[in-house]
Amino acid sequence: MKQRTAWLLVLPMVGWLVFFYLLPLGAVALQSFHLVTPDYEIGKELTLENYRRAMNPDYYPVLLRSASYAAATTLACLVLGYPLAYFIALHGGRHKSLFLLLLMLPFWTSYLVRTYCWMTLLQTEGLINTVLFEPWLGRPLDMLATDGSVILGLTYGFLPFATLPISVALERIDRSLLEASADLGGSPLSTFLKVVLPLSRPGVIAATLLTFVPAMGDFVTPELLGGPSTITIGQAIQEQYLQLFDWPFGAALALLLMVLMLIGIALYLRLSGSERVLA
Amino acid sequence: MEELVVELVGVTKRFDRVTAVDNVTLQIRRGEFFSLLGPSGCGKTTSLRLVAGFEEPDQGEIRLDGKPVQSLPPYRRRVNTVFQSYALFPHLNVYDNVAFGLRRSSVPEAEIQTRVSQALELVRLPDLLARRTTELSGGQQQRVALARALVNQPQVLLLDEPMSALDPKLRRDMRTELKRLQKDLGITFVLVTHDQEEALSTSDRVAVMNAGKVEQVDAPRAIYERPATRFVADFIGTANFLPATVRAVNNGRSTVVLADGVSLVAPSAEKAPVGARVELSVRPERLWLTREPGSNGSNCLPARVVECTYMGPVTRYTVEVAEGVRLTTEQQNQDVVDGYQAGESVFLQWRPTSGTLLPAEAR
Repeated sequence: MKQRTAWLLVLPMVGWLVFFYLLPLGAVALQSFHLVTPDYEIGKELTLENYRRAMNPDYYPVLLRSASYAAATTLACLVLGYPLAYFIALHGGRHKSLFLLLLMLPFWTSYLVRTYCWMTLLQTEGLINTVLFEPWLGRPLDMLATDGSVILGLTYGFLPFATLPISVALERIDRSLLEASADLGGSPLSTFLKVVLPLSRPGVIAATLLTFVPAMGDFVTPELLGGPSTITIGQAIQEQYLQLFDWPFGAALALLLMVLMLIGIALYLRLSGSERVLA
Repeated sequence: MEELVVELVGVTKRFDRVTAVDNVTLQIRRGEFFSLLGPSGCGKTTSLRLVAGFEEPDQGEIRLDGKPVQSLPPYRRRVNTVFQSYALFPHLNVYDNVAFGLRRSSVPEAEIQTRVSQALELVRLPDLLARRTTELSGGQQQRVALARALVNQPQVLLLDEPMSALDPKLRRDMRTELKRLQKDLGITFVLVTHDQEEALSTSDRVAVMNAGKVEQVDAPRAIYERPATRFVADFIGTANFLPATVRAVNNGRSTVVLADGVSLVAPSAEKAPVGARVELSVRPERLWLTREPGSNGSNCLPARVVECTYMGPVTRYTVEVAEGVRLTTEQQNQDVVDGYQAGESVFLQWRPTSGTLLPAEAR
């Protein structure tokens, strides 16, 4: 009886996963084995042609660029997010919830709108150039449509995703451990390196995954803040779906990316020895 | 004068509007087992944390080995703490936990190895070096915590309610163990506890604290036998109190009279001069009941049995000596027939030396 109640309780979640995750994924997977007809319909014939096309070396630099953007974004998010999380978790005091709210505040505005705002800030006639660089250098800087602008946009978008798990991990550290370290002769620096940092590792690992994975597939930011030289794999997939209407080929690209990411995540978790941490 | 290793001089610590430690002065001698005893919130843990350096005093001076340390951070003080929660590092194994302090002071790895195994042998836990601390039982964790602190050979070992998480039997064993360690090592131990039995059985001297102040510092026997205040008498064991007035002081013996004119004799006390309002405190086990008044120089009060509770080896009686003045006493059940019944008129007796005169507290 108890067993049955438990199953009833997870049923909505299982249903949700099946209808909104497994079924669409299956449909995409199925499509990827067909060809698109000249009048943009899905063919009947089963084929691996899409995958052969997707292995085209032309995609390697795009993939590599996306991975570099995601890596740079993750690194920037960790470097900016860790101190922020440290401050909120250990020195936030009774304003802790306020700080967390402030961190989440940008989410109340659409990601699209926020990215457009960065466009107006970064463009040649934008605020930063008018106020800063033109008076200082005498000429505006081309900041938009560069690697920097894409990484900046991605970092801006994913910073909270990195900060929150680190902050949660830091918060869970028993304060008496910090006192124990100081008691045993640990200076603030060595307490941080030997106690705080190792104990916050689950948070750092979660932060890495939560920024790297979505940054790798993102297409909105490079679309708006990037240019012809900053095409990412996300944009390439989106182009197949929304401009060329070759859904099966887009599906093959997306699935390959997914498999690649899964292998990468598995390797990362194995190397960081964190299967246990996440379990 | 014995050498002092820890001194608190007029130390006050406030948290917001609460004064946790109120103008406390304490002197702890080198090599002694010293306890801070008191109910929760009395300031004993804060006092310990002030010595460790986790808190800074608002006023006063803290000295270690004669040198003021109140502005030194904890990692610059040669004291180590055994925390109530043990605070073992969950990401390190037993060996690395114990080695933590030695590594921070850059002791060579070879020496660390010998000292860590010595420390673990000392606490009788030699075979668990590679174990994660989360896999240990409470008693084992506590031993690791002790080893982790002792391995640094601190001037003072601070113990913050170290046994409160252990079950009663383990607690008794650990008490003996602590006493043994302290004797063998000769390190000064400062133990914070709310358990009077723990404090009395382990310590050379005990400081009883209440509401941020030290009520009495003395050897365990003196704390129990000669409490300095009503609080100490009441907090340590159980005590009976009789309000009285001092009539005469003569050669170390004071005569006091109760409200109904009965006069009693007790050892004189400095704070109980002639004419002072006092409370005469007597422990329940020092009282005995008789059917006839005594004539051997004991204090004797006529009383009426209000309640008797048979408890196996002893019977506890509540007797009334005057309207609203009730005392409890415990009598050994040596003779099966010799019991008193509720409502019976009896005489309550005790030796003059069994009483303690305490200054009456304004209430």
